[in-house]
Amino acid sequence: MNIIEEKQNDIMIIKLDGRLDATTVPTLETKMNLIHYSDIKFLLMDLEKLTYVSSAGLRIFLVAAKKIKGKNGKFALCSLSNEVQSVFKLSGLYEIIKITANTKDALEILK
Amino acid sequence: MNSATNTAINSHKFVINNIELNNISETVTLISSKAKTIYPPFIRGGDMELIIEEILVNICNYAYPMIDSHRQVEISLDFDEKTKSFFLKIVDFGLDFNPLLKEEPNLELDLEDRPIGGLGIHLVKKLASKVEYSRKNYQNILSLEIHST
Repeated sequence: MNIIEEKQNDIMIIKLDGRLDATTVPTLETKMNLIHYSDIKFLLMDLEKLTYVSSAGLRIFLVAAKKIKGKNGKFALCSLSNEVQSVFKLSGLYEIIKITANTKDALEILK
Repeated sequence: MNSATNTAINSHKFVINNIELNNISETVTLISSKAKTIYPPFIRGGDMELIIEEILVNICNYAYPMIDSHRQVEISLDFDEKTKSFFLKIVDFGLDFNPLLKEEPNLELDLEDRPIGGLGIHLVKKLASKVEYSRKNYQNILSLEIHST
């Protein structure tokens, strides 16, 4: 899995490309820990190129949502494929995390 | 490459040695590719991958919590032409562990109160049409049925 990092003003954008499973999660977790211990309060994760997610990956998003909320920041996910979206719905995360159809809408929420 | 080795005993049986969190994806892909070969119109490959991964993660964490020489898992994959269903049997030789006894997560809780984890087996139960556990001859045996459409 590839992790691409971008910054737009105060907003950190993390783009994931590939599979997020038990094997690839540790790499992303290291990156996310750096973000959680930084002063970043506005985080967007772009999942357009994420092809697969398991419960190991869902934990990352749940932790991120909690940590950013704890900093009084804003967190959103965008551009989920149908497969990834269905895993979020089955696990009940769809209702508690801000999820938008595209980057533009997500950036509006994070403003 | 990692230490996992896969030996096809027959066309639908796989023996995985030294299963670990860092080599699970190899096994997951191996089995789902086989399913696709057996029945090319199979469109729920992603669901099957998720089911296998979640079960193998549980085996690594609870059936084989200690690093030892064994850590073997046997997976058999069968396809029923009539019902167009796949049948998976996942067997480990570790500690007595029934993942189906895990408490169901409460999906109604708010973000603040939602516990981290506990979703894996919930997903397995949601995606498979049938899941059964048995313990025989020091083996944990999980049998699952997955519809192809």
